[in-house]
Amino acid sequence: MANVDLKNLTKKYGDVIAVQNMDLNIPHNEFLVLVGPSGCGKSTTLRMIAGLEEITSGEIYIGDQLVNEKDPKDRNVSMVFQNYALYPHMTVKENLGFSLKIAKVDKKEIEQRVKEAVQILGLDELQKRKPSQLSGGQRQRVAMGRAIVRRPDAFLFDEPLSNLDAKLRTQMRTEIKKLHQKLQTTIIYVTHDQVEAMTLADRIIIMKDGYIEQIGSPIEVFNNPINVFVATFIGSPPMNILEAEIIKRDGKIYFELDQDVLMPCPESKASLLSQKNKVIIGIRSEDISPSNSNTSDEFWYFEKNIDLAEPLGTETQLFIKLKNKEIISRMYNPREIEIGEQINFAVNLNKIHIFDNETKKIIK
Amino acid sequence: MNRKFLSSPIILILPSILAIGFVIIIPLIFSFYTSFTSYKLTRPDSLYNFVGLRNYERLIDNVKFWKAFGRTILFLAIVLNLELLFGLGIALLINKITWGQRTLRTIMMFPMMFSPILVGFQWKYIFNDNIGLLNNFLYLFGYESAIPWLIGKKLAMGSIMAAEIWANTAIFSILLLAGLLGIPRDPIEAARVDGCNSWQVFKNITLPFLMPFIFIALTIRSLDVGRAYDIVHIMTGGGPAMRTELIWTMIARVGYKDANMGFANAMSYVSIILSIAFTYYFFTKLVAARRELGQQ
Ligand SMILES: Nc1ncnc2c1ncn2[C@@H]1O[C@H](COP(=O)(O)OP(=O)(O)OP(=O)(O)O)[C@@H](O)[C@H]1O
Ligand SMILES: [Mg+2]
Repeated sequence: MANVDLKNLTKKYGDVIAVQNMDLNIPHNEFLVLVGPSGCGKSTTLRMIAGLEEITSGEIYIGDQLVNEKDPKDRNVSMVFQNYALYPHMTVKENLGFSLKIAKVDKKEIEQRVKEAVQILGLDELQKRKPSQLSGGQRQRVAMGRAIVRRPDAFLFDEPLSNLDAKLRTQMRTEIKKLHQKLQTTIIYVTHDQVEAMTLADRIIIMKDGYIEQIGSPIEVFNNPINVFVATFIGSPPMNILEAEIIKRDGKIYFELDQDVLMPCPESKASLLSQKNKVIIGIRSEDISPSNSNTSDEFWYFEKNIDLAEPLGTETQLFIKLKNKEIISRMYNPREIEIGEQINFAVNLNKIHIFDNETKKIIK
Repeated sequence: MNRKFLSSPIILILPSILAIGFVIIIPLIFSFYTSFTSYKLTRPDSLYNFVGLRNYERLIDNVKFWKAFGRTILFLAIVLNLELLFGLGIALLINKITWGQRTLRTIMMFPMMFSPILVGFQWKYIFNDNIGLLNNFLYLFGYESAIPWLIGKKLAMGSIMAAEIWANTAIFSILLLAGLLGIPRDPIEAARVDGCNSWQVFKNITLPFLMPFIFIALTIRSLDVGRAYDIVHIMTGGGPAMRTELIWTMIARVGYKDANMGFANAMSYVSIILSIAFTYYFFTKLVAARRELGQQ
């Protein structure tokens, strides 16, 4: 039972600011996923919570206890390190049982829990090996196992599945989800994998340069990104971003996406744009799709030649150019596409995102 | 000549073979040969006086030799253990320090910069029962009777050990410090998160990583201490009543003072077995420790 609270947490390495004024309340049993580009301070945040990194200022509470001055061993968290950090002189089995041995857990109990972890992680045949005799993915599973044999107040996972193949990764993802349901603990999880983030998270945090850009449920950050950065970071392929001049014609507002390509502004947004000449338009690729009709009011239609088509099986991604920028569209009923073919596209006007061209923040 | 014999690989390694031959192999064979003669330094013609295994037979019955032999093992055991302990302590302390580490490392090496002979002299004067610094210092605290550091039956050996430890602990510190600096940070961090206190981290992570370095240091030092001669010669000359006689001080005495080179060489060959045994032991330990870490 433990919530984790960060208050105004800052970490500086000399002049480098790794984490800046982070405020975060993680209630008990929440599955929190941290995402962000490389170097944005995700690992640093986890390491500070674990007590491995001295904090420059701010406070960390675990289960309502201030832990700033506490040793890692007294924080009762378990961690999967980004680079595994296995004990090279211990066998897989010893690695898994080490924390329990230190905690003087009963031998039988250790045996039992290690066995459980070994089964979940498929490490049966490797138990007697040393880490140097394992592949990257196997090491990562051992690191994972070492964390889950414990019953800590909080789990800290730093990209625990990054080195596994697709199948194993899916499998492990499910296991982690099950584990969370079974153990009812707080989990803070760093990942670069969109699917992992979306499927596992109760809440996602998007970080950049040591700051939190947005916090919200997966659906929330996907549907309502608060700025261009979040919009392009969440979702794959990334949201199409276009700079557009605002053109007023017959009392209506249009976005000029390309020469003579004018997209009407949805009625609901028109009042917000009276002062603007220029905006940034964001459209997810699934909201631009080929269409046979061109009658619906909720859609805006335009024709364009295809630059490139990438068939993925269930869908085909079509690449077109607007203002010399590549735009990706998703075609959900794939057929053979010829390069250069002219296709009629429909844009779902209710789903477009309008950002301020200076602050890059959403206009709403 | 046969062309095959003069093939280029052979020609290329010939100089080193020759050098090794002159420098090592010939003296080795020569000294081994003399251990089967009654060669006396003062009578060169005795070099041809082949006596077979007689020197070795005499050796087996020689109580003095075996006492010196045993004493050397004791000396080795105590000195190596204490140097390891102190060296490890110093290395751990210096490793903790973040500021001024370089300076401290240099200061730590000072004892190694002096000739062992001079170290022997210095300690001889520190331990002198009349005019020595130590006794005078103790006098200040009310110890009226002079303690016979170098001439007491039991104290003399301890005094030599103290000097030896003072002079060479730094070797352990340096080697172990190198080991400490090379330990990866991650397993230590993992252990701390896994619930280890400092002692448990040391025991379970640091020490296994340090083991190879410990055994390298022990190997080097066992060879070094095993041939201890200078410091003993200066401080006590093997006395009192041969109670500090080690193998090499005895060999030197028999070989040069008694001029009994054949016999001395026989003793050397027996004592080399001791060095080989220690080296072999530590080396197997070293290999095992490295395998333990998965380093092969
Ligand atoms: N020991 C250190 N000394 C100086 N700077 C550091 C140190 N550790 C991390 N940094 C810097 O702090 C910032 C955050 O690093 P961090 O490891 O938290 O990134 P991350 O978000 O985990 O990235 P990745 O996704 O690549 O793992 C980076 O700019 C990094 O260069
Ligand atoms: Mg990281």
